[in-house]
Amino acid sequence: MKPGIGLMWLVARGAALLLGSAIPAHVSIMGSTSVLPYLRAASAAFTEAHFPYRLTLGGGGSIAGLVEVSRGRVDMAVSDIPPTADWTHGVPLCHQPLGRQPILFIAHPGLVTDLSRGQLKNLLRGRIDNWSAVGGPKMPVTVVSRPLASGSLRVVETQVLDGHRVTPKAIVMLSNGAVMAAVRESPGGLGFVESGRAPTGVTVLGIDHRRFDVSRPEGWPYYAVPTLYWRCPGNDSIRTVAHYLASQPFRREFGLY
Amino acid sequence: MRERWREMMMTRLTWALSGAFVIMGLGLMASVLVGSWPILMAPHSLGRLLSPLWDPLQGQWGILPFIVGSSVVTLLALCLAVPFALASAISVSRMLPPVVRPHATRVLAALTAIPSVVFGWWGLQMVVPVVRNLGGGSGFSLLAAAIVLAVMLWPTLSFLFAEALQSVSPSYVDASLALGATPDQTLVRILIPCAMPQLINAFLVAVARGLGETMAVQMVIGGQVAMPQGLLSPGATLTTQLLTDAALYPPGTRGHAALDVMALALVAAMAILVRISARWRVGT
Repeated sequence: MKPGIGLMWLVARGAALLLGSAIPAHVSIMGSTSVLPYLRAASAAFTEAHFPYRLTLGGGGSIAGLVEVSRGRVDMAVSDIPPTADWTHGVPLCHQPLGRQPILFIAHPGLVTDLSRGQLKNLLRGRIDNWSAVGGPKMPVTVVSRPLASGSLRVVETQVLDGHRVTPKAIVMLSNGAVMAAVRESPGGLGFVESGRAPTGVTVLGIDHRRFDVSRPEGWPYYAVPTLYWRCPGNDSIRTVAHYLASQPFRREFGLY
Repeated sequence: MRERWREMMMTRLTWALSGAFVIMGLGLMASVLVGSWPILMAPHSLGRLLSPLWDPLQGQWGILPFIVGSSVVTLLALCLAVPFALASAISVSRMLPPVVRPHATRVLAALTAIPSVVFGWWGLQMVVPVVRNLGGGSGFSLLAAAIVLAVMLWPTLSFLFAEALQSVSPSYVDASLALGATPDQTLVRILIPCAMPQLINAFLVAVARGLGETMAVQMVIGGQVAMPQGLLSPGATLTTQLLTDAALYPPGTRGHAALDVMALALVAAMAILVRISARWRVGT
């Protein structure tokens, strides 16, 4: 190859790389942070098995993912909540559920171990502000919540709070892990996380005498359904990735049932 | 001929790049202003904006808690940082042996380059637990944010204060000492008054940095959208709330307009600071 042609090829390849169009095997995914650990593991396995496919992952929350995928800024979104026209501007999205992910209610150790749904609702809404009102020690309640863009917050507001809002006095943490850490370290802490395993250092609360059990996850009533979304109809790469991510048996290890 | 042509090209290039900078700045301000227009022009907009209720999904756009959060955190951080920074600057510029001074200045300059997320991480590990143990509650609070911000501002302020003190002509200091003034008297009556305009400029730079800081503050302030009840209460600032809710609203929605109003408030605050700073610069 002449040096001139070689140089032109390099320049064209560089430009194509910058534009991203020359790599149909590159798929970007953004959205819910709760399934990121699973997606990281699955994308590594996928990349190894399907060279030269390349997956890039980002958080930002369910709604951010839906907004970005409908605007064409990422290839796929992962969201705990279904899209609305507000976020997608009517762009039709195809979807593929990844599984069901339990939403666990967690408290700082030594407070209570069980609550009724009504008590939980009143605690999260800020109507009960001391643990002594629900059989715990005399200690103010510190609700730890997620930002408005969080899908798990929407699920909690729909399934537990009957459409009401979490108290505006709640501390807002930007990720699932940050909620867990804040509840673990704050005396009086109460929060919710999407997790298929019992988190350590906190009390996982039973609700209405039901406890989450890894061996019998179907007995637990509160679930989010993280789902992959992409602009319809999507290309082969996107469909291949979606099918792969939604069918891996090791999803259970990451709390996706 | 060729030299002249090159000079002309350089001048035009400089003008073009400066023009691009101005256009970019004006474009940014225009986009924020246009974005916030639907809320600013709505009936009773000022009253609604200055209400203490922020619940954009219910049509409540009150940004007062965030204005209070930004003001309290920045002011408290400056109150904590300024005495330490001034002491460090005096040490670096006047008290340390001359051989050590350049090295100390370099250390200060290096400290100003630490990314803010590192301060936030440190605050999460060290400051939040201390505030929790001292004041109860979760520890995520305005006080924790102010302490982290103060530690973050300290090197910047020290560096700028030191530069200001070093800019005073040595002949003033020598004359003061020759007339029998003690080093302390020279510092208080000559050095600081002479450097005052630059010291105030440095202070204003710190105010701007404090108001604009996002990540470090977000990590320790708690993100509570209700009006803070005290220094030990969690809260949010204009920048942290922008970060928290930025992902939620696509452009063109009401929520996005509310976030644009917050951005506009920050731009306005910065413009006021620049104006005040320019006045002091005129005085130098």
